[in-house]
Amino acid sequence: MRRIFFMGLLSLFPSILISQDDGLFTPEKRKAFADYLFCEKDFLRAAEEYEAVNSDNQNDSLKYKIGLCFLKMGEYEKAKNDFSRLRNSSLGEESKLLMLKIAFFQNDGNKESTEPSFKNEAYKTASLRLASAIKIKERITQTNLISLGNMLDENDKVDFNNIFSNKERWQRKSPFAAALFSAMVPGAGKIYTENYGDGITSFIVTGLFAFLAYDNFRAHHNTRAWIFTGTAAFFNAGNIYGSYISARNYNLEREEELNNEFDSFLNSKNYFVPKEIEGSCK
Amino acid sequence: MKIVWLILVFSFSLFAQTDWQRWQKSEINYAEKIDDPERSYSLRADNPFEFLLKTAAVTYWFFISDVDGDNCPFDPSCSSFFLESVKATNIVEGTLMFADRFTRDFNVFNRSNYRITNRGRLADPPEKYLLSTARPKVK
Repeated sequence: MRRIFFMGLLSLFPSILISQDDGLFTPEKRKAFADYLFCEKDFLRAAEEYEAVNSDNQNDSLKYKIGLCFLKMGEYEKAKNDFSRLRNSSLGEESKLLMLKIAFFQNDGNKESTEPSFKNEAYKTASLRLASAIKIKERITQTNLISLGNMLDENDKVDFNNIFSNKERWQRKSPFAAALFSAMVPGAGKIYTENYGDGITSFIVTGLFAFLAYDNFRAHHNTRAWIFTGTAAFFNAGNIYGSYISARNYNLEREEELNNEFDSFLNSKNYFVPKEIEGSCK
Repeated sequence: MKIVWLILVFSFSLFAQTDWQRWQKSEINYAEKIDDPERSYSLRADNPFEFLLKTAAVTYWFFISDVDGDNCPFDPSCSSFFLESVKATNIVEGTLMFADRFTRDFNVFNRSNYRITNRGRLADPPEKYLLSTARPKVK
């Protein structure tokens, strides 16, 4: 009796499992699951689920979501491919704007990529700002930044000016001046480029060998004197070269800082793209 | 029958234990990785001049540097820096780069503007000091 009861119980499990199997993979449930994955930022699996639901490739909003997943993952070519197919759909304007965002990430300054036409005013403004940002990313100059600053809303303009109107950010050092200073006084070029430790060291090292050379010439130890002269000249030549490079690296560091600030400003403004077109999550 | 059950139970528990390694966050290491950590004592060179330079460097390494110990605070060391600089540029520029590096090696005041390598030294690759580099990796 017990065995029969046990067998009966065992036979129930597969029937329960099969009964639940039906509804798990319906398109609605898969889409809901994909939306959940998207909101959890699991974009790779979300894209797979959207693709599974959109196997016939007919649904534009799903295609758009797939493009968004690739965009969020940094798979720009795939995202561009998806958005470009939606140019003439009801999501065409949004797709064009997101393609402009991709052009920004890819440093693509082509006219075709940066000058799409928009009917929606908000998207048009966003696209103009983003196109200006692309130009600035190619070469960050004060003039370019001012032209972008003029396009911004009042609140953004204040943030923008706080970051970029600081004069210190635009201070540059002339490599030739640095080399010249070091040629006149060893280490002066490095001090000019705010490399104080190296500047003082250069001064001490070159000065020491120069003094030894002078002292030996005075004592008529000519061989030693010429060795010290050569050593002093060797260090000073390196110091002149190093000062030139130090000024160049100083400028590059400032430019790098400026670029980073610009990137983080744009990131805080979502690259001027309205957040609601990038998939809303509760 | 009992044996079958036992085998079943054990096999389940074995499978359950296959995932024995716990998931945990990976340790992030911000140290800069240097590609060639070991010195090459080979004298193989592309031209006679490079052979001469390499011979001088290997002689220095063998008789002085290795005996003196691991003292250079930089990565690559000054002698390797010289070899790499000359290889990347020419004898004049390479020598100037080396002279500058040698002076910086004397600096005892402030060395905070270097990254630290995975070997705990100051990262100072020659690429940072090339005249021809439009945009070197700064700092």
